Amino acid sequence: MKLIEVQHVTKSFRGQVLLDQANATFEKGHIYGITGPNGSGKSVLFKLICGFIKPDQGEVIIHPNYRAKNANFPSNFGIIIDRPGYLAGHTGFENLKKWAEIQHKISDQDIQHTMRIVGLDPFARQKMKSYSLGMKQKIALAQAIMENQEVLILDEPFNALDIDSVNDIRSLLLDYKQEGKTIILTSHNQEDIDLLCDQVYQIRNKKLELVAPKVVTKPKVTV
Amino acid sequence: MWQKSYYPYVGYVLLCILGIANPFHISWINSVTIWDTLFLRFYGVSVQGGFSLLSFLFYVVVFMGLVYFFQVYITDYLSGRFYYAAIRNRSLYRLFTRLGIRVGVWAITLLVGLFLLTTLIGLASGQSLEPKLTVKADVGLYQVLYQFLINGWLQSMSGMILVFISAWLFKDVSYSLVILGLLVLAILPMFNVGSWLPAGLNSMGYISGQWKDLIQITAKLVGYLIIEISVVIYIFKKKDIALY
Repeated sequence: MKLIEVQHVTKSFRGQVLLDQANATFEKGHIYGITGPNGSGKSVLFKLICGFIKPDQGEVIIHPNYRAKNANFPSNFGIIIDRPGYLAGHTGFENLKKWAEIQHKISDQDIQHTMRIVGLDPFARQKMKSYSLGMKQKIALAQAIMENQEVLILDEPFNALDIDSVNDIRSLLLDYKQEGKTIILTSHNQEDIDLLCDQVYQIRNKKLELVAPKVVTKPKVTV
Repeated sequence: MWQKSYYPYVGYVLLCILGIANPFHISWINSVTIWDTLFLRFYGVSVQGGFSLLSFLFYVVVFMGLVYFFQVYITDYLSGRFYYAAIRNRSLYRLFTRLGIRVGVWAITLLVGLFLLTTLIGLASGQSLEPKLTVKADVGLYQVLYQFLINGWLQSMSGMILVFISAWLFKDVSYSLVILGLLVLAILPMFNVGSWLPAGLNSMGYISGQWKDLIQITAKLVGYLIIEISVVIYIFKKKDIALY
C-alpha cells in the first residue's frame, strides 16, 4: 500500500532551492532511510510530508486512512523533527503526559511503559532541564511512539544515544517493522541506514534519488 | 516544588498587590467603597484628559504584563513543542482554538483575581462593600464591572492574538517585543486619537457614564478580534510555519 507519495515537489527558502522536482514513494510496513549532507533538505522533506510546510510545486499525497477530514496534518504519525522542545521545569513523565492529554488515547501506565522501553525511569523526579542530551532524545523517541503511532518520521533518532541505547532502539524499530509499521528516518551513521533500511533515498544537488539497496548481511541486533 | 522560573510571576503578583495597596496613591484618600478603589486603581488613561503617570504605569504593568507573559509562553511553545502538539491536534484551527481557550481562561483568572485582590485590600483598609460609586456620581456600578471584566477580557485577548500573529510570522522574538512596545505607546490618548487603536480601551478612564460609550468600546474590540482571527486563518492557509 502506498502510504506517502512525494510527487514532483519543489521547495525553496528565500530564493534558494532546497528540493527540486523530488519524487518518492513510501509503502506501508517498510523502513526508509533519507541521507544527505547537513542542510541538504532532509528535515524540510519531513516537514513537507507532515504538512508543516507547503511545496512550492508538486504535492505530497498521504493515504486516506491516515488523513482526517479538515486536517492539516496526517493522523497516527509519530515524529521527531528539529530540536525537540520541552517544558524544562517538568519531569520527563510530566512532559509526555502533557502531549498525551491532547488526544487522550493512552493512560499514565502506557506512558510509564513507553519510558521503560526507551530506557528511562518514569518515576524519576529529575527535571528535564537537567537531562543529558541522550535522555532528552529518549523523551523525543518516547513521545513519537507512546500512542502506538503507525507511521514514524524520525529525524536523527539516534543522536546523542549511547551504544547500548542505539542497539535497543534499532531492535525496537525492527520489531515495529515486523508489526507492519512504516518508518522513515535520517541518520548520519551509515551503519544505522545499512542495518535498518529497506530502501534509501539520497538528497544530492537538490534532487531526491533512490539509492540502490545495499546488499549487506544484516547482523542481528541484540538487545 | 518551587522553581526559579516562578520568579517573574511572583514579581508580577507583588507589583499588582503593591499597585493596589499603595498607600501614597490619591485613590485611598477619595475611596469610600471598594468600587471606588476598583475604579480609581484601574483608571489607566482617559480621553477626557487628566493624565496620571502612576495610573498609566500600573495599567501597563497589569495588562501588558499579561500580554508579555503570553509572548514568553508562545515563543517557547513555537520553539519546539509546537510540532509535537500540532501533529496530535491534526488541525491548526483546533490547536489555535485550544490555545485560545487556555489564554482566555488565563485572562478571566487574572481579572477575577485582581477584582478579589482589590476587594480584600479595600476591606482590610476599612472601605465599605456598599454597592455604589462615590467618586464619580454619574457612573453606575455595573458600568465599572462591565468595563473591568468584559472589555478587560476582550482587550487582553486582542493583545495576545496580536503577539501570536507576530510570533507566527517572524522568527525573531524582537518583533513581538516591538509589537508590545507599540501597544504600550498606543495606550496613550495622544497616540490613540479617537480611541480607534485596540490598546488601553478597558481603562476606567474611558467610562463616561453613558452605556453607549462602553458598548462602542466592546464593538471596537470585538471588531479587532474578528480582524485578528481572520488574519490568523489567512496565515494558517497561506504561510509556512516559521518556527524558531
